[in-house]
Amino acid sequence: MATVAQPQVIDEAYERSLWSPITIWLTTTDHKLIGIMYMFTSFLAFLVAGIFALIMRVQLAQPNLNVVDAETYNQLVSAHGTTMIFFFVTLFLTGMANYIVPIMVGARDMAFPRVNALGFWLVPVSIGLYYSGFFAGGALNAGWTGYPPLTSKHFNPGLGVDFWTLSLIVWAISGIMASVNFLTTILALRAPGMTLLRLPLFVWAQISTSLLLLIVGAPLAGAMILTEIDRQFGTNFFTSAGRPVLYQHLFWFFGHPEVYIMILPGFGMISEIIPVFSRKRIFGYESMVLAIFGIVFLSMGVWAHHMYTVGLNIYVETMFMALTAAIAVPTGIKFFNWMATAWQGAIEFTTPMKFAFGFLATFVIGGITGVYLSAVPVDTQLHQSYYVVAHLHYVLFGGSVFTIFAGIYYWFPKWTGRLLNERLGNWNFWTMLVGFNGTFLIMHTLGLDGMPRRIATYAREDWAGVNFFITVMSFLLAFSVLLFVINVLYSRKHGVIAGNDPWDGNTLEWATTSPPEPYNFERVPEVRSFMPLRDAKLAAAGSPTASDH
Amino acid sequence: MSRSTSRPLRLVLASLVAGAALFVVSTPALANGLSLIFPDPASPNGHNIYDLYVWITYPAAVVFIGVEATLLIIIFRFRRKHPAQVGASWHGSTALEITWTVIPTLLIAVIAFLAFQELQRDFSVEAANNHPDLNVAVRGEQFSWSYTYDQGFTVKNQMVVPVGKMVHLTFDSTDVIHSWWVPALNGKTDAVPGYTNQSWIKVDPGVLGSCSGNDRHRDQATGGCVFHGECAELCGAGHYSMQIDVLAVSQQEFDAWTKKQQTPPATPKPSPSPSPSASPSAGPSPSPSAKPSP
Repeated sequence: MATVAQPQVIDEAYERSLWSPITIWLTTTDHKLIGIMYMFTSFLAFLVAGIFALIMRVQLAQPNLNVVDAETYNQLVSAHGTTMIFFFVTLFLTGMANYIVPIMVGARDMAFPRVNALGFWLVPVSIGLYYSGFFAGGALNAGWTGYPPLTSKHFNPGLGVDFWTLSLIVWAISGIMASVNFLTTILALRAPGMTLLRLPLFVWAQISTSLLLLIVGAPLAGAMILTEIDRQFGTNFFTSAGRPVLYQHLFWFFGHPEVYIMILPGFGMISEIIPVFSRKRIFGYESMVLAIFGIVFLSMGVWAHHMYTVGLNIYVETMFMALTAAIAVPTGIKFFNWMATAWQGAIEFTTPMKFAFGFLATFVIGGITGVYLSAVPVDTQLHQSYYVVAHLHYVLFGGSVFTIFAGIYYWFPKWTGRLLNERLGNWNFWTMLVGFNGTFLIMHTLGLDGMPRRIATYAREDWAGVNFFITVMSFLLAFSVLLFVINVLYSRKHGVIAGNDPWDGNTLEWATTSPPEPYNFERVPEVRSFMPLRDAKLAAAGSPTASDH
Repeated sequence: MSRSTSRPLRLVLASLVAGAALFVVSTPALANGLSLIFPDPASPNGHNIYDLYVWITYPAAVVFIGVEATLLIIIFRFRRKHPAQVGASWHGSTALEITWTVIPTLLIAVIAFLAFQELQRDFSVEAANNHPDLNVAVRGEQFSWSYTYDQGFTVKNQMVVPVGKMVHLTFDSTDVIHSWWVPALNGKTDAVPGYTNQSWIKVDPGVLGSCSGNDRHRDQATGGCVFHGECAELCGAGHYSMQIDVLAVSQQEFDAWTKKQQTPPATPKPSPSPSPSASPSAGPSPSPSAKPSP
């Protein structure tokens, strides 16, 4: 492990990778540069969709406002959801994995570098197609779920729906390409000695995510293609004369696993971050792997829990209820394992660790409300209300976004060679924690009280106070994101120089330079556990290896 | 390398700020009289859903408090005291792992069983067709609701039902998907073009005496209670305006109202819906009603 030790100052590799001429970005097949482009593009999408959310919150701050008209509001609702889910969370995680996974398994690049580049370059095409709707008479206005018949030609003659279906078809193709690439990379390009049960948990999470997207990407594309055929050729797959509910089955057969596509990589990051900052080995590695695949398996049998009010047979509903509630068990196992990992650890609360604990403290609320929602009778009350809006943000923001921020603060030094500023990171964390919970905790009660989601305005005076409060807190949340952007811009130039291994890490990405050379490792390291760098450090210190599998 | 480790004191302060923020979060709700749970249920199925929600809350509260308390203990007890300190070396316990697999499984099983019982009791086709005293066909269209009664007439904007009577509801739509939701009475049922869904309500007679809550108001003309709801499925630009009113009245008032509806209007002009009570809705002005039923 000769490559491990030398402390690295900022060198030309760093300057090259961040300031290379535009042609290098346009033509690169390097997984690291592609990863950065994924993250940059999807973060821009995050900012745009966040601004949409703020406009919606201003519109809802008081009853009967008309900041935007109802049609515009519906387009904002749809664009916010589509952008956050498809263009931000999923793609940002793809970018992080693109950068980190090959290094973690000791590979020099992804298995198919050109497919990787093609997969990325489909992303701006997909986003561009969707946003073209805004310049062609109005984008999708039927919610990110786009239920027909509202999306049929008869009720939606404009081009927005067409742009949306084309956008998601391209997105699905891009996602399937990335998934095949990740699976091949992980299965075929591992370093010598890295058996499957020596994969870091983040890599296991990426396997599960890729599997899911590989399986459910096609049904999504299928649903979009049928919608488009209905619109252009007058068929009746999903129209009033056909079976609108069939669309919901197809969409949610994709849509619910998509939730896990967006959260499992986050679970993987937390499984890397908590052991490092607790200086303690992950509790129950094997059960963590099993739990991931328990979630993968169950997640494909729960889609109809989005459809409890469409009039399914109650015994069918019972099956979906049982499988949905059962997901709480493997998720709970992961949760308890993380807590057991930190228990009796030697914890340092750096910003990544703060975000990891922020994730644990908030995601549990999303998990618990998920059990309420799994119970069919209760769901018929909560479905399509602000309770669900609150729940899904606890899962996707408290879950995915908090883990993404934990991951950014953790790996930023690897990507750029410099640490993000801890003081700004501390402010970023606390404003986000308070802003997030302030925005979404009280929102549950609006739903319980009868406020449907996706309404452009409301008349009830008794909802005004809470809505105003939520709007104020949403700006605090936006402020926390602003702090983050400032932190990135500042630290990229003035951050503390990180060296190879600023966190005393366990996995191979910390064994190489920050940022790594294009070939990642001078010598591909040999692996004897899922914590190869820890082994190397212990061996250097003369102790026996920590863990053998 | 300088990492500003936050001291426990700072964390306590931050927790206090967060706690204060959470307290502030809850005050606007209380100040407004916004209920922290569903509006008071006024139909047996609404009652049962409410009870199931409360039942789930017991284990949910235990899990929530248990997890958050454990996290706080970890945060305060297991901080790194000196730079060279490492964590304990144990990393597994079969007994623990079995415990936190089995206990959640049992909890989930109990919740699912209770929910299944409630499904059979109130959500089956049999429950909806259990000797109804009245059948009302609810039809959604952009952006209003119509209600067609057994007797053959159709009204818009406000459904009228007698208290204490089993009302069988069927739902469909003429255009896109809508969802009929009056939280005090029952959960949602979707109105989908192409097929018919079923549900039922049986409004508590007590609402004639006590009709207070933000989701309901007294109807001065009939002495009945108007329950408020909204369409819950995004159905187009007017979705927000697709309000629902259910007026629950005594049987006598209902009979009188029915008779009035059945009397053919003297002029070709359609008669407006029976109760002129202004609902607090932001909706567009009511469209003319009493279209001949299809």
